[in-house]
Amino acid sequence: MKMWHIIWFELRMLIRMRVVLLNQFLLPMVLILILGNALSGMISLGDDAPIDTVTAMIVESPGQEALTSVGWNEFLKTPEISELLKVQHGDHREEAISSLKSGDSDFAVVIPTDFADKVMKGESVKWEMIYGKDHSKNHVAEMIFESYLDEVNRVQASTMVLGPNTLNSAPQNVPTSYVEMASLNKEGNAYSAFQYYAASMLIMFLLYSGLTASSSLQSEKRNKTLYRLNSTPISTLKIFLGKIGGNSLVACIQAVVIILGTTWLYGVNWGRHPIYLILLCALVIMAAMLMAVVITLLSKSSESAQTIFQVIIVGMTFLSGGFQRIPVDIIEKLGEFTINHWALQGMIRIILDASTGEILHHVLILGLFNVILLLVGTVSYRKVGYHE
Amino acid sequence: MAFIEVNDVGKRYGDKLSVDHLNLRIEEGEIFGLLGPNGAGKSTTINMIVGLLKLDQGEILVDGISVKDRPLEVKKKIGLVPQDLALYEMMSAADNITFFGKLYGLRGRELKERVTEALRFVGLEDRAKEAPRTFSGGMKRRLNIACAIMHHPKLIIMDEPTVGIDPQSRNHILESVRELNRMGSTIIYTSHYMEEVSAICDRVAIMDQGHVIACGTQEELRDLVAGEEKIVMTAMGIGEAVLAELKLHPRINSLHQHDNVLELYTASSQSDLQDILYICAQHDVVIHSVVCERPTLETLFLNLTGRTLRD
Repeated sequence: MKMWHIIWFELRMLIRMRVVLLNQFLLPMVLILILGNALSGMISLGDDAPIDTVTAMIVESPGQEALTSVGWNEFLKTPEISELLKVQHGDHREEAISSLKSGDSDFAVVIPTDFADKVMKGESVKWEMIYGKDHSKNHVAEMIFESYLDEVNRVQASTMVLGPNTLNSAPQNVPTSYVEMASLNKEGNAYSAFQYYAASMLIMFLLYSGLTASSSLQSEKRNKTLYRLNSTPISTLKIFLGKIGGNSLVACIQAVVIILGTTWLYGVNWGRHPIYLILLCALVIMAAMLMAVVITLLSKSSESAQTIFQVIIVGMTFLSGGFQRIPVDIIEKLGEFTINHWALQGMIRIILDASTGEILHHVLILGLFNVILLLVGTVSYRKVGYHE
Repeated sequence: MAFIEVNDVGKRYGDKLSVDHLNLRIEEGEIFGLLGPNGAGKSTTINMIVGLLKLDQGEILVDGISVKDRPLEVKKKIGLVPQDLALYEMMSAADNITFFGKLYGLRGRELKERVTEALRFVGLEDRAKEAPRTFSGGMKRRLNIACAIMHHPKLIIMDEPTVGIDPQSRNHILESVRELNRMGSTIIYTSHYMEEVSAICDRVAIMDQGHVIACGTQEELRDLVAGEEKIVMTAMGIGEAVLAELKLHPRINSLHQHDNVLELYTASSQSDLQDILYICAQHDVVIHSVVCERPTLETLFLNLTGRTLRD
């Protein structure tokens, strides 16, 4: 009961502090807004990127048209291809290059003069492809022509093995079977920048509540109120746990404010697993408080405790990709040793409605972090204690 | 059995002995003064009585309860007024008192009444809703006291409660101490201000370097330095000859000269003053003023240690 009075008093005191309200409630909301807007281009929302039509110039030697037109014209006329590819015809290679330079064409294909001979002989064939200025258009055109050529080569291979009668029938199968429009995004959900940064900032600022706890524990010593508290009929451990409890309660309110605030103000969807979300938040808060215990007890001064805390939180957020995902192998590996990584990945899986097993995996590892911190915290308390 | 018994208590910080073989008996209803210079061991003694420091040796009993064995039981009986202000500056005066009251187990209506009573006692009832950060030093000191007395403790320990405050607030606090004592609390009052201890304490223990060097009522302590009355004379023309003759006087124990001020320690200022004035007149010393001082606790401390309390 007396511990509850300390928790309640601590809560009231913290809520009256302007710096706590600004740093733990307002700042995360502002940062989520800024990062969610500013970095929305870095994270796909799951919409398919539009593919522009490519104007391709085909340079054919005279007399080859008949051969290449076998299946080729049908291939070009299929709805999927005609939507993507607009064909121009050129007479020679220089014309194609000039067209690419002027921007009249996006891509060019030069069919070699011996193309027909090689086809007739059943040999492998190649076209010269000349890239234009637009990387994605080059990619689209290259894929279309390569797919056609692959089919031609397949027919050639069949001809060599099965005989010349296969030649006439094969290309007729080409047009529709080799082009299929699909969306990778239909395979799974994606998260928005707001969702990503809401989760990442929630975790970072819940960890910062540990910094507030550390500061509060130190201020009792600095203001000599701990001396008076210790003279009252309540054990030091209860005083200590009461202080931690008060700060944990503020962190819980902070989590609720950020989750509900981002939902209502920024339209963040936190997924359909609120229990797991609460569990993850509770584990992050617990980790923050245990870090506060360890750092406060083992630091020589309040200033050094604050500095250590800041470095650890910012470092863990950076390594876990909390500010921006950094696709560097060593950083990603190091990130796996942070609380933020497992909490963030867990929350993203909650947002993406991943399977329970996948979410629990992250919850369990976060729990493991807490067990280790609890052991270190207990040893630190027993060794150092909480007194003035 | 005394209300507080300190039996052969010792406390060491590393190599430094803070309290050594300390023995004290404090009766219920007393105002007991602990007097000594900084570092004498007063605060260490208090911290051990409250149970904030573990004893290296010996035993302390408060109202028959061992501090070592049942510290929380002992703490219920004690109200500690720390030397440093121990207040939550963000919270109101009433919130501060209420919080500590709850920690002493007070609830509901009783708690409210005690908070009002404590605020009234220290003269802060009209500032109840204001935060201590807006208070003067003296007001903070009074609130510091209110937080310690609101649960009506049987023992109130005041550790230098008047440090750094104005004379008006000091008088208010000293009067409060007497009033609390009249209301039934036993009080341990520590200070290095001899005047405060003289003014309010029934019995005094003088501490130095972790030891009690003298203990008793003020009269008993003064008796220890009987024959050490001080005559302070301000005069012109104090020469070597007059000093030599005064030193030869059989009842003048010692004398010190600083410029025009002459301090003489005699067995009895009343009987010896005439001789002293006669010798001075013989040597054409022009006397401006003469003050006779009875022995004080300061004199006793000086006599016992060779140092002043503020050294």
